[in-house]
Amino acid sequence: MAIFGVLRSGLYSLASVGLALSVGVIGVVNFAHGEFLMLGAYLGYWLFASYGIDPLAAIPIGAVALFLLGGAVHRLGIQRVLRSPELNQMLLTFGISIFLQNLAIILWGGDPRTAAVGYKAQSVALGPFTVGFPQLVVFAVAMTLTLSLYAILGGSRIGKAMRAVAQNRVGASLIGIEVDRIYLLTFGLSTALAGMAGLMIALQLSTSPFIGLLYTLKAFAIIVMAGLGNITGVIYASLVLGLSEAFVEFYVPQGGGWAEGVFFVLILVVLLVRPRGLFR
Amino acid sequence: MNRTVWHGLVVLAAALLIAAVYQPVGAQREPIKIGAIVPLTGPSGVSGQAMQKGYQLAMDEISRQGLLGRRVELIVEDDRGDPPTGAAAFLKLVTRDRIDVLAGGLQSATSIAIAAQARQRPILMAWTGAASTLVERALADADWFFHYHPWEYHNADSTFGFLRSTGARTIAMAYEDGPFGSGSADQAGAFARNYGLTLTFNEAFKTGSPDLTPLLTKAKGANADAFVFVSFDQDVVPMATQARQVGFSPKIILAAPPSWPVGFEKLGAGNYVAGMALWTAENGHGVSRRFVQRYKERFNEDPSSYWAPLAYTNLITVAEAIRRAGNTDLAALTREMKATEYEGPIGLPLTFKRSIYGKNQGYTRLIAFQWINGKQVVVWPEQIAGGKLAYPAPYGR
Repeated sequence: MAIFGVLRSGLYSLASVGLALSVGVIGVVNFAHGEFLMLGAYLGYWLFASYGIDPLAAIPIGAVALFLLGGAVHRLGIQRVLRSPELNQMLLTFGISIFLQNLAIILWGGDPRTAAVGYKAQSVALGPFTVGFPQLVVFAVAMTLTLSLYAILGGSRIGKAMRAVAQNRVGASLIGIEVDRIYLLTFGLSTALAGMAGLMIALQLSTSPFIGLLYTLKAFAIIVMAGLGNITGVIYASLVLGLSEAFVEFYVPQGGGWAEGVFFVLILVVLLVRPRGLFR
Repeated sequence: MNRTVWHGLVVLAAALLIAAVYQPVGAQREPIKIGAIVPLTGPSGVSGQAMQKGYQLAMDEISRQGLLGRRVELIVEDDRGDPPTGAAAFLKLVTRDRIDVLAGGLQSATSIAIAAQARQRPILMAWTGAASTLVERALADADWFFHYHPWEYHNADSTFGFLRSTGARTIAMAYEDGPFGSGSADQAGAFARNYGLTLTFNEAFKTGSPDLTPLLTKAKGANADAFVFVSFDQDVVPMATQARQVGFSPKIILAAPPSWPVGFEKLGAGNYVAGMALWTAENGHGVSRRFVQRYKERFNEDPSSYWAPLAYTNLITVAEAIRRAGNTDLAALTREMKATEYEGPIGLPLTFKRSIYGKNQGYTRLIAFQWINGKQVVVWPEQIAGGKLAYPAPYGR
């Protein structure tokens, strides 16, 4: 059961790391994060259904498309409320979330859509265990992207600028960092990561206009557990959530009904016992 | 009284007399107004839009044939799958539009909200949707309420009747833990016993969960002949694919979502998964085939679910009742609706009879189909079967 939990954490990690970035660097709690993920899933579905492009191969397309969309949303909306009270920011992102969800309903209807990727039901043997091939692929992609992001933040010039802005916006601007440009890049990167998570959902599951909320909630649980803005903590927190859910579902009678409550319990416990996060 | 006033009174009396004489003729020329409440947007928007297309086909036919020499006006209101919106739509249709008949209906929650309003303002309700017995109980004594869709106990009865016919003896069941799945799960044990089946596993899961492998691994351990999966549309893809991944191959997998995800027909793992429905486009009945043909010609697409033929049936039977009644009086319409005998695109005869709580229940049985090479092949009941059930199904074999 542990291996199912570990594999599940891959998708959770990918769905959360973008939100951790936008909270950590820009300080924006983006309630529309799940809807960007949903748009990525639709992009994956349509690229597969219309052109036969595998969602894995569509990762670069999805990343660029969602980066540009995120950049546009930042320029037109987020940027204008950055210096407003946090409540205004939350209301704006909540509004964007509702808008995107309804736009998807109008454009594509409410029916779930599934990309019938040939290996969707395949499994592979890992020693004595048999695991789903798509889950393994998603886990590998998630780990690669999360660790790459960590490397970028730690080693590249732009990553260091992001960290500087995250630590002290005024200080960063005083040493010549263009804070607004960093915010734009960060938000674009955050939505691109959400879009890539959406592509992995298209690969593994099905998409509908309503999938966003679930992943937004799980992402919030994970970034609270990790400590706000803690990128590496996201991996550990995703593991904790994935494993807890899998164990509850398997070992607790009627555990499938309880599993969803796990992340709320985890948020509650972390906020009460260690508000700065378990992995900070 | 002076002459001017006298003349004025004479003119007024004459005008009133003319108005009184001509009023019945004017009333005859008033259109027959049929209101329909359906979710055109929201989670059930696709089903609601299919219903609207079914109504359009019916309206084409009704307009061609004419109805009591009057124009027929269909006023469709979008309830968005939201109970308060549905209740407001009812009030608007009844008080402002002054409709003669209310048609439509899809979700149980919205139907409950509308039922509360309808009890205060009785009108002929020809109601297509809602499977929850809460709706049936809410309108138990309403002689003017006609329900087309089977109630949830009819669904359960059909499901276990079909399973019994396959030769399965033990059943594992998983259900989403909302009202939809829980309602089915509550009744599963009793229905299984009625049909001599043993329920060896019965567990809940959360709809939308991306990973069902723990649940499927547990279900696999129950080693039952059949696996029944009561879920929403989005859950059937992870169920079908992850069942293969964990090597879960019962003799039959029966899923019962309200509709199926677009693309499921192309999913290899979906092959041989069985389902229950009121109707499928592969239904071999002659009227059903003609309906599918007309639907394709009119909308350039296949009807994706049973909501289109059900809505068509809904409006056509209402129009026939009005024709037989000769007017739109509630008592006359109720009497003629009760006399309905109709064999339409659904493929099963429609009459209204008493159900457990309600007075006028239409369909009481679902059909079973199996996904075979991307088609929903009807496999039960035998009279309308278009193919033979693959049992044991060759999942992963």
